[in-house]
Amino acid sequence: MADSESQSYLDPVAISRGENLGILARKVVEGYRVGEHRSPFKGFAIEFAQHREYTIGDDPRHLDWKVLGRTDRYYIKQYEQDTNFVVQLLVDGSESMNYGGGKITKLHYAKALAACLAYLVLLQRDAVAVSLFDSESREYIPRTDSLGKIHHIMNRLAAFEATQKTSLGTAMGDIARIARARGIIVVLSDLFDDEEGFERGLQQLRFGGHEVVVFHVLDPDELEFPFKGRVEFIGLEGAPKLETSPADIRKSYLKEMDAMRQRMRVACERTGSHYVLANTGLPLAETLSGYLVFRNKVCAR
Amino acid sequence: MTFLNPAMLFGLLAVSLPVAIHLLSKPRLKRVRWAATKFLLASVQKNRRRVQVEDLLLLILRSLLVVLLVLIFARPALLTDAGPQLGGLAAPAVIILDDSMSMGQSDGVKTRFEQAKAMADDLLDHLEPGSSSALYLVTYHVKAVIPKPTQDMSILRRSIDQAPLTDGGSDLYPGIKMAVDLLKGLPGTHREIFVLTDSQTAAWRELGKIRDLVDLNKKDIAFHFLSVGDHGEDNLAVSGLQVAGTTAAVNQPLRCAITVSNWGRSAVQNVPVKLVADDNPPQDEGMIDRIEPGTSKIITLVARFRDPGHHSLTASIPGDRLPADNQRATALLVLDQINALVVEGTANPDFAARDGFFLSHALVPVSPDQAAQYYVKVATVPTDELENSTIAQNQVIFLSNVAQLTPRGAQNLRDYVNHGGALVVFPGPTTDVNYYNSDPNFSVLLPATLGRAQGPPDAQKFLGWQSKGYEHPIVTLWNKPESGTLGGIRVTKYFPLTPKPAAGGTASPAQAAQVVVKYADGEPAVAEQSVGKGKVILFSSTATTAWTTLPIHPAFVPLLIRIISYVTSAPSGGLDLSPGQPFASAVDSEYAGQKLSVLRPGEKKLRIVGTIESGEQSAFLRYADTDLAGPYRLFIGDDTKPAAVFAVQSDPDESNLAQEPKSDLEPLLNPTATPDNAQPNASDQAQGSHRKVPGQELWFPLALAALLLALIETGLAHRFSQSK
Repeated sequence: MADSESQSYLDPVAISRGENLGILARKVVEGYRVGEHRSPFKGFAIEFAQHREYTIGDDPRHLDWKVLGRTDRYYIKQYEQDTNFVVQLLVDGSESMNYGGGKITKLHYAKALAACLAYLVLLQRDAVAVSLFDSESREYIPRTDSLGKIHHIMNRLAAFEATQKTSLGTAMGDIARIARARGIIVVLSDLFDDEEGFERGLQQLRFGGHEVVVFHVLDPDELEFPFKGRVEFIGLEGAPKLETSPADIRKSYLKEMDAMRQRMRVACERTGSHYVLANTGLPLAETLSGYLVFRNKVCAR
Repeated sequence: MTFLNPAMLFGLLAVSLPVAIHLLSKPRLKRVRWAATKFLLASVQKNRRRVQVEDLLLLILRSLLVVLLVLIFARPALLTDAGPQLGGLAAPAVIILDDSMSMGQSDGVKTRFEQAKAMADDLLDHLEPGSSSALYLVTYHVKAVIPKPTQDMSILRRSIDQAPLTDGGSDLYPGIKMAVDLLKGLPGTHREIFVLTDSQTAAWRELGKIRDLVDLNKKDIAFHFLSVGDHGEDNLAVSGLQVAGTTAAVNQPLRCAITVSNWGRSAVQNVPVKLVADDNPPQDEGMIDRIEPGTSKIITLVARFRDPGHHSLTASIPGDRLPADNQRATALLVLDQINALVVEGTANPDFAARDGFFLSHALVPVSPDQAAQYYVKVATVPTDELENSTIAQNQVIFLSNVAQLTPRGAQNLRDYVNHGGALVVFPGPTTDVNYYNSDPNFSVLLPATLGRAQGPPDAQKFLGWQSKGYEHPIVTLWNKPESGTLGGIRVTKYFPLTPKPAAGGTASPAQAAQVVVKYADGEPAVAEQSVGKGKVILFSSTATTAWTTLPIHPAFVPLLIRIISYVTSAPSGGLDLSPGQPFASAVDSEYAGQKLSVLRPGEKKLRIVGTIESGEQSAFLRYADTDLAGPYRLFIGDDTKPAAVFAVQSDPDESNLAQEPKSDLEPLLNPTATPDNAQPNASDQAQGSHRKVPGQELWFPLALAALLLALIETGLAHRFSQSK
């Protein structure tokens, strides 16, 4: 797809408008699908319901060959109707997500990513729900499988503004309680939160049988710490101010940041979740398609 | 320890700069709203102490570097004991270095001049920090090598080292006066004058003026008189060289009177004297048997020249510890022949009775067959021939018994004398006294007015010439007993002469007349004067036996020869100069612009020194670098024959090395009042106050330390930035 075109939609002003967010999502997804990539999001639990006698015209693929072998009679398996799976999008709307060294913030990026995922899921007639949270769940868009609802989702995403602290573990726990049917939980957050709470959240979600994908959204500044001279860092989410020479602490900071990312990755691995680094400095399409291709490979095994 | 530039220590205030920068610097602060604060906090906590230590270390190193640089500029020096100290405060000074000939006296190792230069160099070491000095070289003239005081000791040392010794005479007063005038014009209250001299008597010839100068200025200026050399060194010198009364003409024996003086304390014996013409082997040699201490002896040697033109004669004795005065040179123009014109006032058929008879024969005192080779050529003409411009071809014109001249003839004669011709006038019975005394062109030539012709006074039969005590160069020959006397010349009639004073403001300014010889009663018998470039000699009686026995006296021929030699000697200005005196000579204007070269005394190679200068009616040879005694040869273009030769002769008094008695110099050496802010010494030999003076400077080790510190700081700063 035309990355520059999609990136052009990654404009903070544009993303603030639902319509533009929808256009962006469509562009990104269609770009992905043009590559003949199949959606990696598939139903995976088809439950057996009952047998009935075979009649002419039934798909012989559904013959229960074991019963035939035992009874010498032809019976068709009937299954529960394939239910649409639900993708729960958890978007971290805390104040820390407001940081952006470039044009867009992490929140802008997370919104765009959520929009793309929502569009992709709805396009294949599966259901998506969106939860925007900070210290608690702020906005919840209930599950819908109607593409017509996409505009509503985009509008809600676009309008959301982050102002509060994060409590990722709480948000994840809430979703774990709400989401009865097993589905896919996609967390889009910078994970600047209580790490234990986050891992606990992961465990809860996984215990609920959900598949969890964590998009760790980080700004290039947070990843590379390129600051020079003398800088006063004004902490978001109530963190204190700090004046320092970045050159003095860069090495140490990077070490801390890498260690945190490593811990998040390990926590995800420990809970069987997927960890994806979403560098807001990289094109959105690259990040998304990179994950989707990976997922396709994994799910195809 | 002390500091040679203590003012620079104010630079220590600059140490506050790195500290101020460190403490107060607020570089442009960037503000960033940051999400990942917890990671920053952790990093800052871990690095805070380390960063503080690194910053402090760099601050200390940088401050130390500033301190070291300030100290280097302040020039710290260790204090050492010094010898006799001169002065006591930083002050402008003048060093006066006597570079006269006597300073060339050697003690076998060093000359006085070398000793004085070493003393001057040592003086510079002991000047107070911040002092400055000018440098004068003094003989009769003052040469301001460094005209104004400078603090640049390297220039001073170099100038002292390169100062040349001259053959000039000594006179300290002009240099001291110039130094006083200079220092009085400078700001400050403490000034010093150092005079380094061999304290020769000649140098103190103006002692009274020097004393007055010191007394007048001793409150503001410290005078230090420093003496080199021992008292009254023995010295033998050639103190005179004169071509004695003979004309310098080709192939004619040239008698040279050479004076050798003994300035020692004991007699010297068997002093060989040589006479050299140009650079040829000695022409003549002689031996002086004995010269008593403090006296001089004259020896006459003879030289001959084969070629006309410019030549030099050099008389020499064996070398001693002052070699500069062991030879003396003179320059002379050797003539091919002397053309003499005898103008007869009356015509007389009797050849022997003619007015010019005795003159023409005395002027060529050889047999007719030898006359052609004789250097004097005589032509006898009547008075009206003076109107002819060809008279300029003669070197000397004799007038004998001429009554008057025509106006044109008188004008011609006047021009002739003004342009360098010589005129010898013998009045006679037909002489018109009024004309001689009043003609506007002729009278100005005569050195005396004529009175009416008269006989001897007091009814004597005759009047004789003086018999002794001859002072004029023409007649000094007859001071020698072996030459006889002029007292036998008798006069029965004469024109009384009244010598004229110097005449000025005329077209041909005449110098004061001199009496050549007197009568026995003291009245002038012969007078002479210089007019323009020429000379005029006036006799009071005839050139014939009409009124005097002079023409038939044995002295007549040598008298005429000496007159010719005298009147044809060096042109006005002379060819013998004093050291430092510039030489100038007119040459044909066609030479203007051509290169001028000189062969200096003792040198073998020509030096190109400039070009011939152009004047209004002629060109000029000019050369001024005449500090060394000896013959100088000037060449025009590529000509191998010298266009001019002149000689520089040192002052004979300079050979007397006796020092001025200390008693005469006491008031100067021990001034009764000292300058307000100075601590003068009695003399350099006196024991002055010993005190600490700056010695070894420490800037170099400090510079090394600063360099090392800078390297350490650079390395640490780089390392600290890397570790972050």
